[in-house]
Amino acid sequence: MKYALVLFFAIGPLLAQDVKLPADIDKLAAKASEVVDVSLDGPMLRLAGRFLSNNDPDEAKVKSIVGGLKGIYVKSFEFEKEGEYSPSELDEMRHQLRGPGWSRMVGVVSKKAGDNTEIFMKLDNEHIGGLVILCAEPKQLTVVNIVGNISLDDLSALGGHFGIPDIDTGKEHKKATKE
Amino acid sequence: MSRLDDALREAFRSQDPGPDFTARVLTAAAGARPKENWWGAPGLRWAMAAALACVLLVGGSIEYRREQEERQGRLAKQQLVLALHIAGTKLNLARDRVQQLNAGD
Repeated sequence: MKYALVLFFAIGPLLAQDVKLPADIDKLAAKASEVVDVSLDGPMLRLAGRFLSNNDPDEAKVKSIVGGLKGIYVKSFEFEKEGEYSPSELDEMRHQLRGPGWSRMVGVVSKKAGDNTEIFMKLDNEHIGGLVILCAEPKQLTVVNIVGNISLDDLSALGGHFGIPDIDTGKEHKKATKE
Repeated sequence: MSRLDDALREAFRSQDPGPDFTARVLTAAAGARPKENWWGAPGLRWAMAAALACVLLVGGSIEYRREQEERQGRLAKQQLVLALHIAGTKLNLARDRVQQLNAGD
């Protein structure tokens, strides 16, 4: 029983993260000119939520969004020049995202701009239980893993908060097209 | 001289205290005990000092933990905002690419 509890607490955070970031990806930090590494699990999100004000409408909205999340993990590497990373760096993660429950919602390869953006979603009983964004640009490689119950409306609500750009979720499509 | 001078001289004139003066002073000094306060007991004084030290230690520890938690919380909030900003930017990039493709069709 004791060992089971220890095992539970040891692998708990890993299960919460669900999709594991590639182990080798941190090696890119040595070549990168700028590195962003954000790792916020459930308790840290709740702690951050306590410092979001209810009086500020923007912060209050983010607070309500964060309430449904179990973790946010972001790794972003920015390089001085092109070709500093291999496009296969994210293959391991893509392989994980082929697993049950995950769907590749968007995959855009722009030969002109030289970037490759993919969005994967995990559906739990018609709710989005997770979101992964893989974005490989010529001088930047970004992996975003959001774990938890989020809706497209929540994603849309992120737009404009703290300078976060608007996210088109269909409802706003006409407006976005007009713009 | 004035009458005031005479009066002062009379007042300050030395008088013999008597042969048993020294004995009377020593007897009075031996009988007089310093007034003791309830907090004056040495044991109690140490106990109070220890209790005060404990209160200060516990209070300081609570305050330190509160400050640490606040620092962690503010850092977590900054990281959260940064993470959401990056997520939003990349989603926006994907949206733009899809719109470009649709416009191309």
